[in-house]
Amino acid sequence: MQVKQLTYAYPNQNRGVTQLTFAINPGTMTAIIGPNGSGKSTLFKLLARELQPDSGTIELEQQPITHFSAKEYARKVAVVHQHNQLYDDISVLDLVRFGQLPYHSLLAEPDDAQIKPILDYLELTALQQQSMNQLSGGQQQRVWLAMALAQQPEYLLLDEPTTYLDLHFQASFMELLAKLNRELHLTIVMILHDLNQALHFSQRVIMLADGRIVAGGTPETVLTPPHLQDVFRINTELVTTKQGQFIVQLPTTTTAD
Amino acid sequence: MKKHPVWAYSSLLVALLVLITLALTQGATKVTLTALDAGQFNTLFNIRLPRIIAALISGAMLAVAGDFFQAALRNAIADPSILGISAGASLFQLIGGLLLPTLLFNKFIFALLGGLVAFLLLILFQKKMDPYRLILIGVALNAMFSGIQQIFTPTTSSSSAVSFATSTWSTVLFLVVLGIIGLMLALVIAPWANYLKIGDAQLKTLGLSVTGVRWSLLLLAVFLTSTVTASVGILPFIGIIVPHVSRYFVGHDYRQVVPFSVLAGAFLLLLSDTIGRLIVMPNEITAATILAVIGGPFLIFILARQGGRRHAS
Repeated sequence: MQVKQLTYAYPNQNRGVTQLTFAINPGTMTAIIGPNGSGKSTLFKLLARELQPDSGTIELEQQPITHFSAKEYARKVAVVHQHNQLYDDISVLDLVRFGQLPYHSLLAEPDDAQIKPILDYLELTALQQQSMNQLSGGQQQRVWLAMALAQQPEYLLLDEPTTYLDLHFQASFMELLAKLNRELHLTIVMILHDLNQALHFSQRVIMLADGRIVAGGTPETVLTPPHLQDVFRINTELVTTKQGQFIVQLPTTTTAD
Repeated sequence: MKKHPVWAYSSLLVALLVLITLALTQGATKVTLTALDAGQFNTLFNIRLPRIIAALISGAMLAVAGDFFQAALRNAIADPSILGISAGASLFQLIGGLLLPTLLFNKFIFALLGGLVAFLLLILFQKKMDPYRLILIGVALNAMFSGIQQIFTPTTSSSSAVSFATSTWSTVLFLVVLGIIGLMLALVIAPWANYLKIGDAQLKTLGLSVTGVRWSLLLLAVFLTSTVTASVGILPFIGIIVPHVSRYFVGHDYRQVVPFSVLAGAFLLLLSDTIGRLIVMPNEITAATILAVIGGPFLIFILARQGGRRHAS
């Protein structure tokens, strides 16, 4: 996936993204980070085709994504939103079946043979007849992920997927994404709020500020204390433990030296 | 709560058969099905049977219209009579009768037009479909259309005009034909109502035409409502009572809710009509009046229970 000179400005607002250019390499996990108002969500909506750019293009397989029909795009790119709206009660199985919509007519019967391996993989088989309202936040997020996987996509876009989860579920959900990337070779693009998640679960980080890319590269080169000071205005230190490196935020009165 | 659709369907079917038998045999003239004379046969076949069929099919149609309005507008209290759709259909049907009385099917065509006009006004004034504003605008449209109708027909109140007593085979025929077509279509597209349980943004990323799905459900609901209004008149609250009761008994999957609503709507309207016919013999209380008496408290109950939650039951 290639993003070229991508620009979008919200009408009558001083927000959006300007001249974004980067590539998403197949089979990688890419984190998009930045403070509030930096353009992360705008970029996400442009990648998900929820917004049309003012200028520039997003290309998939050397074609602008606008050339794909809605169904064709849904077969290649699946989206998990930060806040997944549910207006009425529905069972886990029925919700996951929606992921087959890109492949069938609206009147077709669902093909559960395709769904079962996904439920097994995400350990949802025992919950499949349960109502979504009966599940914990972490379980619900796995169901939305299962629906996205039922689309059999090549790319998975996630908008702050762990924001509403407890700490325990945050860790297990991120590990699940890494497993999907590793075992199913899914290309994952995720907006992340948590800098340590970006450090540990991505091969590439794109850092945005004021709608522009201010740094892009491996987590080690982007998530440096000077960058974080410039963009997030926070003092940080990289602490090395037995489990690896972690970004620790220091009190504002303390310097990082 | 674990739902038992098989028990719910079986019980409702038995209750419906008992009610139909009661409606056939009871009334000013008692009829014994096993020993009919010519007079009783006439009462049964030419008076009660068309009336019963009209009530059954109208109830089913309004209940399904309620299912689809509630699903498509994501609003648990959306009902064709509350939204002003029935009143719009009724007014236009009257105007059609005055302007082009000789046009074939003019009642149905103008009622459908009226239902569509009411619905488009509703959407025009409330594009974001905020649940409560939508209902308030519906209430205002309802009052406006009913008021205009009163100007044309000052001596007839809308509820007393609704009666199945005048149903004959010829008046029931169009209702039955259009009703069966509409209900068959509703059963086919019932699964679409499930899709609208998730947000529009998510549906679009699945490659679904959200507008197409929503408008298909709404247009069919307008068609069902307008056809009943043209044939029988405005029948309040069926479209709100039955979907809630159906969800209570068979769960929230519209593949279950819609067929159950067909039966439950048929049952509720025939029950209302039969009660109205039997309790003050030889006079009658209209089904619309009975429904208003039941439906008003039911609506208050739903609003009090939900406090704004959607679709719970």
